[in-house]
Amino acid sequence: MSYFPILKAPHCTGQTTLYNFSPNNWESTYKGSQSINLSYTDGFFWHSMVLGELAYGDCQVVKYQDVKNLIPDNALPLLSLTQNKIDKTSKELPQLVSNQTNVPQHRSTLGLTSQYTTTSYQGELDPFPIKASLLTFSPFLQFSDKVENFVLLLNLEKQADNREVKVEIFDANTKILKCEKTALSNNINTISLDDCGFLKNDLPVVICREMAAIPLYFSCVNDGEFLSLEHTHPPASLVVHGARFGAQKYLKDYWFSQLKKNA
Amino acid sequence: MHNLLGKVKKSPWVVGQTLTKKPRNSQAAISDLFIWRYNKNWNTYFELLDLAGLFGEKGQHQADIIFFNNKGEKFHQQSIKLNELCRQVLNISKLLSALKQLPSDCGTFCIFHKEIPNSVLKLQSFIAERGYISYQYKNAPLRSYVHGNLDAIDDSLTPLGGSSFFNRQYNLQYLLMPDKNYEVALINASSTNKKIKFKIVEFDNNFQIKETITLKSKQVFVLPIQNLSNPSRLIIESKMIMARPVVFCFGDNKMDVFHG
Repeated sequence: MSYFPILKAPHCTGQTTLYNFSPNNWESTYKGSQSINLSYTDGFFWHSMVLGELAYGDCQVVKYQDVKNLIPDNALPLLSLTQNKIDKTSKELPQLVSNQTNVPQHRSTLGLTSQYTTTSYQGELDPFPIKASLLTFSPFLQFSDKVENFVLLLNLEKQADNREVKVEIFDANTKILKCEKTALSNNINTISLDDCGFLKNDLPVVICREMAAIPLYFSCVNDGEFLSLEHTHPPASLVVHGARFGAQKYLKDYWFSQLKKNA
Repeated sequence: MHNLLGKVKKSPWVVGQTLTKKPRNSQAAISDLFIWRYNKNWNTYFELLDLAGLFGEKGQHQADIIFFNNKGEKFHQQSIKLNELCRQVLNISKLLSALKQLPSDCGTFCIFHKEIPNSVLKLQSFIAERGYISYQYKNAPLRSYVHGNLDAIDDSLTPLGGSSFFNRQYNLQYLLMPDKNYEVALINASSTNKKIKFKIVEFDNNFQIKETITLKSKQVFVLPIQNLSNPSRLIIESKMIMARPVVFCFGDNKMDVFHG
């Protein structure tokens, strides 16, 4: 039951392309028209509405401008493609009856467009458990004239509130806390990495002990003339086979305890 | 009953056909096969992290980097000392420019970490380099990043990608636009030759481009897509379990890269 957010970032507006066809021909999926839904939270309840229908085999680009008058300022617009009608108002994130595949996962194109160019990645967003955390090593900072670097923390949870949590950014080698920021659940949080004082050879570690998120790293030059966007892997991806999530737990326990000493 | 029927229908596609195989050696290191591009328009970089260091292993660690040409043949190998918990950007183009002669201007490479953390062995897992590669196009002031996405090869250079009994379609969920050009790169991470059909299809199912190739093991193929008349999508048909491509998108002399 994946949602597809519309991203936002400095100097850019977001657009998301939805696809009503399967990414493969061998996992069973529904082959019919589906509803395009828009959901958002006002901090208390989830609100949803139908934007239209998408015929089987077709695709639809939805831009932030298309939905900005339908949602509160700063709310994260969440699109979905479903066979069911979803509740207009609900305390919990609506359950979606939608196509699911595994090899690969059903995705949309999540893009950012400046006045000059576009960048995108293939993605989806599933709700995180409320008791989850974030550990990401981020070697994406670019250093040259007029480059700006950001981490965009993308979170979705079942509960409709916008919890405020602490985000700590350390240097992996010295374990020194370089900066501390806040982020909201059920939102895309833009955090500048340029004011943390990182040098070219520093490896930043971004952690959040109270909330999980997809960490997107976004860089731009000259107010968006050039753009770069990619996410890091979750720590479990440093290994394959065996007890991968045991490895993730090991890494989180190790780094959270190491970084706690200096926090 | 419905679930059982679904499982029966799916079984010819899954039984004995894993996405990737487990290495025979329990202490093997694994890597993705990353694409390098190096010519007057392209430079390639790799963010090399000390994976053992991230697991708390102290000391100086090393990794081996192995390069393959555009036919999947190995042509260079070297060891690299890792910078512990500091950032280490490998300038792949600079490494390649030091060689006397390059066999091609694109190919693949893999990186094997030499130290396997005890914590990883205890979990019966394998350390895997599936990290972050970046490309600089036409000396742009910003590089475009894409992460690895497959446990493609082990340190005995055995490809780990699985093979399917039947041809499968990988339908890229991406809108190819007429005002852009694209290069779609696909690697064969299996141990056998694979026949690949690329189809560019308009949304009314008219074919714009059809191309059939045979990819050798570890070989990369780059399909150029230019001058589309209408918005289209890409279908890749092969006996690879998941023929997930890396896509380079071009517009106004700028490049953006992403994986399928």
